[in-house]
Amino acid sequence: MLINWFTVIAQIINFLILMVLLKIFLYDKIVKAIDEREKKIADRMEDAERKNQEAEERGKSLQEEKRRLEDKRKDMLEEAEHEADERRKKLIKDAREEVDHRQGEWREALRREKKSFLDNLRRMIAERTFSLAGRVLQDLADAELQERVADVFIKRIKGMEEDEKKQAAKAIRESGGRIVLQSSFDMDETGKRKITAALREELGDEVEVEYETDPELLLGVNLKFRGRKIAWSLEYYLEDIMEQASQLLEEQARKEPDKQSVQAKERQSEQQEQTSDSV
Amino acid sequence: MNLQNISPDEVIYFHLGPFPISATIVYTWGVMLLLVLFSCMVTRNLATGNRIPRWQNLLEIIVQVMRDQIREISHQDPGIYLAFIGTLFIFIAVSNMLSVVPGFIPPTASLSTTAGLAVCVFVAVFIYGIIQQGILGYFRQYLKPTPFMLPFNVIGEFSRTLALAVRLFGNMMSGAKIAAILLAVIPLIFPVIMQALGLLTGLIQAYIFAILAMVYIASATRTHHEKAMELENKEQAKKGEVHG
Repeated sequence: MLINWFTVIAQIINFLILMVLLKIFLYDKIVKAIDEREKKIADRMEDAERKNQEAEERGKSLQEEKRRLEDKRKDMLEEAEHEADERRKKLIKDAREEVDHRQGEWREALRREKKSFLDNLRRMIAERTFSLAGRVLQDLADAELQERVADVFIKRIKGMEEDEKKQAAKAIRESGGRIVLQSSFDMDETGKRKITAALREELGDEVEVEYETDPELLLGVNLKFRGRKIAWSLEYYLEDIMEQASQLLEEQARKEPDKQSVQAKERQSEQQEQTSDSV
Repeated sequence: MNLQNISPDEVIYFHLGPFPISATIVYTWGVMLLLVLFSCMVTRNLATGNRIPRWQNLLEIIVQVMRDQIREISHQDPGIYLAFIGTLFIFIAVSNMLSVVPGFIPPTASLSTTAGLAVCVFVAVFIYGIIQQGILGYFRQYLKPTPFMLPFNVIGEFSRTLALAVRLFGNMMSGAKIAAILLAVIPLIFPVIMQALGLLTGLIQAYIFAILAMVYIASATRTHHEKAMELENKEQAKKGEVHG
């Protein structure tokens, strides 16, 4: 008999014991370990996925921030460049204005100096000419010249306009017919008579003439009444000459600054070209 | 050649009280001891981290492959079958492979051992079938497709158990015996090839035994499972019609 029934039962029991032992020592433990590790791996994968996602998001946000910063930096740089440019332009402009201003001031000062010098010169020349002419005329004045002066004065009175004559006559009447005649020399009686006659003829019979001498008149006659004045004097001529002389001098003075200003303009344009090159 | 040479059952080492302890039982204990000690040593320090010991890795691979096979055959969770099927496979495989050790007589070369294992499978089919389908549900299977098939179903149940036992016994016994015969005929080199072939046959037999056991269990438990699946499919079809 190939089958030993005792052995069969013994083997069944052996097998069952082995099954229980292996279940305890092998399957349960190994399966548990596998499950745990799978769980761990799954957890780790999930974690990795999550971290990856986080990292991606973070990377995105960082990139965004970087881009923003870059933009900001560019803006700031542009702004700074713009500001610097403006500032430089302003500085150049200020400097140029300052230079112009200084130049203007300097030119003005120069002009004033020249003007005052010319004024002084003019005044001096006029005064000299004036005093020289006065002295010469005083030296030359004699009875005949005085008579001639009286004649010229009479001619002047007679040459007055009708309106003027009427106004003068009216004024004289209001002042009670008294008028003062100043002359640079002592009028002789003939002269006085001639003038009085002429005045009475022209301005009314009631005219009383009072004669005074005023050496400052140089050579001439002054008729004063109620604040009005009819005069003929060498002073006027001299003043006229002086006027003309000073006008001439002024014209010359004006021409010279013109020349200077033209030169200054040329210089300025050169400077501008240079600055623009350096910019 | 006598009966003693064919079956290790007849080799009695000693008597434990009234029971004769044969070589089969002794070598079975040896295999059991080996397996349990090895499992104990390996599973004492199980790692769950990234790095695992190579022995643990080996055991994990074996257990994982067995679970996958069970799942593939039964379409069910391998949890409750693993201990039974796994132990069948490991015990038979280790017994067969140790046959290359000189002096070792594989317990599976004894018809008593294979018969014992076959009886275990026979009982396990009942137990798993009843666990999954209930007593009535399980025994109703024998009346299908008609009650007339009952005797044939019962005969089939017994005959396949017998076939399991005889198949394994025949293969293992023949392997050992052929080696012995060939040693007498061609003593050099050729027996080595036969031994190598014997290893392969042993593994295949272990695999076949475990797989067949699983198939029997699956066929006993699957009907219920399939019914549930059919019901589910019908419901889904109805829903589809309603939706359609």
